[in-house]
Amino acid sequence: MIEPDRDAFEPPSDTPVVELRGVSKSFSVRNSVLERLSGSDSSAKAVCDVSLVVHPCETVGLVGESGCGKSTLAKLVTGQLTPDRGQVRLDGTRVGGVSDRSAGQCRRIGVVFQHAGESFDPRWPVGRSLSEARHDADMGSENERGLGDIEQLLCSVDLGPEIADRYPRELSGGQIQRVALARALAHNPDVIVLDEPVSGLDVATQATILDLLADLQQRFGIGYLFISHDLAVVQYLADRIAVMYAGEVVEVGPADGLFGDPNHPYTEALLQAIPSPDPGVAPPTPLDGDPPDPTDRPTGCPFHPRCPAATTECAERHPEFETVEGTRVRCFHAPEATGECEEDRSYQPNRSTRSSRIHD
Amino acid sequence: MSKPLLRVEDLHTRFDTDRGTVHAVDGTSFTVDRGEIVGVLGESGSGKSVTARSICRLEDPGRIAGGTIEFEGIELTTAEESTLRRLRGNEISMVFQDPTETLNPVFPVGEQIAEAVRIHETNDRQRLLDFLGVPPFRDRSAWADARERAVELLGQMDIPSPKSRSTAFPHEFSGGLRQRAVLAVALASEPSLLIADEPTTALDTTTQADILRRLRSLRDERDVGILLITHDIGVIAQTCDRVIVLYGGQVMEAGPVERVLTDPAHPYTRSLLACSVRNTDSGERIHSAQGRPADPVDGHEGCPFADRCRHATAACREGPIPTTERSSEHRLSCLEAPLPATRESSPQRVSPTPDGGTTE
Repeated sequence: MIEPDRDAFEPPSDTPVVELRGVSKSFSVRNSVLERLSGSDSSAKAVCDVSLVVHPCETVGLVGESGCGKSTLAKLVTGQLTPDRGQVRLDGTRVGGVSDRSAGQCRRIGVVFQHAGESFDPRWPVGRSLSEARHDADMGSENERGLGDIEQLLCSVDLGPEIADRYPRELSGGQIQRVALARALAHNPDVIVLDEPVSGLDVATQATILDLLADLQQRFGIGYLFISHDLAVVQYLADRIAVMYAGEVVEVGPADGLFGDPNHPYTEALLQAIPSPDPGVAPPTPLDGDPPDPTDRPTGCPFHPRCPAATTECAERHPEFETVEGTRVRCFHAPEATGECEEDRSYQPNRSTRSSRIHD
Repeated sequence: MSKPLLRVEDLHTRFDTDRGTVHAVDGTSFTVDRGEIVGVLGESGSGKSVTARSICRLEDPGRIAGGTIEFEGIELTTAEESTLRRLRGNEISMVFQDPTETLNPVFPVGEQIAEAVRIHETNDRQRLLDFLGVPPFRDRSAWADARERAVELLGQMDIPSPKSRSTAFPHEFSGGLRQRAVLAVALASEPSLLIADEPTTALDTTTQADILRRLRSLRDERDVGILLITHDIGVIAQTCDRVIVLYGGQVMEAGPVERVLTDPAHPYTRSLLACSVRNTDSGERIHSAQGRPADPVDGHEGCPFADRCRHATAACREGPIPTTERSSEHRLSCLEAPLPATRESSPQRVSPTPDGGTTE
């Protein structure tokens, strides 16, 4: 077993490991030759002007319905995609896509993909996939976390060394998720992007994976960008939560405050959709309508066609971020919202708390 | 007492593998009535899906080694293939977990629903040339009627602009729309029993709430009996009338939802409730059950949960566990019951807030 060694790591610093500054990403959807000739390009806006920071040893939860741009945002962080506008910064340095990043910069971000089973080569024993990840992460230097060999890597995610000889198809959902985590740990990252790491697992396995994630964070001081559509899971693990809708962050703040007292109607709708385990509670009322088509976004607030509190103002003007009781919300009708734009756009790290703020 | 719609009695489904015989379903008994939703709760590998498949007699490559499945007085385990063909889809419909894999990607959605309608109209014989769409042999008017019915079914599922959507392909639908289209296919023949195998696991919470509302309205309006398989306790609590807790292919506990979820009597049910993130506070460790699910190869001596159960005694590992009635309708297979009340196993800890969220 590897002994926990928390002293070896610096306490969370004020410089975020990952910082997104007003990033936007759109994908062009040109359907026909005619459209291509006429030059009309209806691009699908997957991510619109999102700013987000992730500090070491912090879990940032990213929630929203499918299609709201969560995974695109994750790919912008990992460098699989480059933003059309805005900046992705690692330790304060602006970086481009994966190919433009130095080995050291690539190392800093680990990824666990949504379908962990499909992200392994089916013809390789998982041990080989793990050692490949180790090789890529600079063989020369001693791994400071003592995760030098495969056995230790597997041990750190509570798996036995015999797993290394197994093929991905021979592993259960929970096991393959652990191996995927081990692979992300192999190159000693500072932040791991977890794209729906526990969706599709049953409650018992989900619980063990979440416990493991919490342990690893304690032990190695890793920051997580935790993407999920299950609010209960995010609520359990995250320190801060960003709620995304139609490519925009609509509310962001500390987990307790945001879930205890949601300010944005969309956050409230998401919370209401969680089925309660108590049979005495009335079933949740689903949100009417579908998320907007990314090629044809509504004017003003993107949520207004489905919003119970929408007024004409919502359809005309796009709300800016306002701070309400520690959370930042983009809605005209949030409690105590003044309807005035927040002008403060500078980044001021808050030394007193571990959670940090997000700016737009 | 009228006869139940479906009665499964001491069902055994086995798979012969190289490692030995896997006892996937090991003596399961339950009933489903018209106009009720029966939930099947359990971890992966507990035999939920195999039970569902056995009812449709789609257990291949497994085999039913014993027991009876009685549907509207027809014994399905010994029924002829032609009888089964008539029942499947017509009287018993199934909805699977992933709507993307259920729909054919190369046919428009409306066409696939129309096909289901046509198949159920022409019960006895389906003419190959009609199905292949060979022009002179194709019954055009019947197909036109079936298409109209498909549009009607899509409309009933609240799919916006059903006429134009019926010509769309599955990839043009969102996850929730797809699952609604799959439900439309399943309901094309107005079945009396619907088996839904994890119908909302791949969906967002908001979409899930919509699909669950639809299932409830099916029960109330069309008097359909529904067997809902899931590992989500919240889904069971908000949708089902009765619940069956499966483990190792055996029924651990069965009874009305209010009874089983608020006052669980079986240690396995308690551990399932305890490991739900929805019953756990942020920062607190989830009480996951220790150990792995028992190996189903060669069956179980005694209680399958004995190895993970902290109340287990030597007697639990030996003979068969008798089923006791705790109260009417509330059945239990445990030697150690009644167990002392534990605080963490009760979902009452979670009290709903007025906005539908849950707080401590």
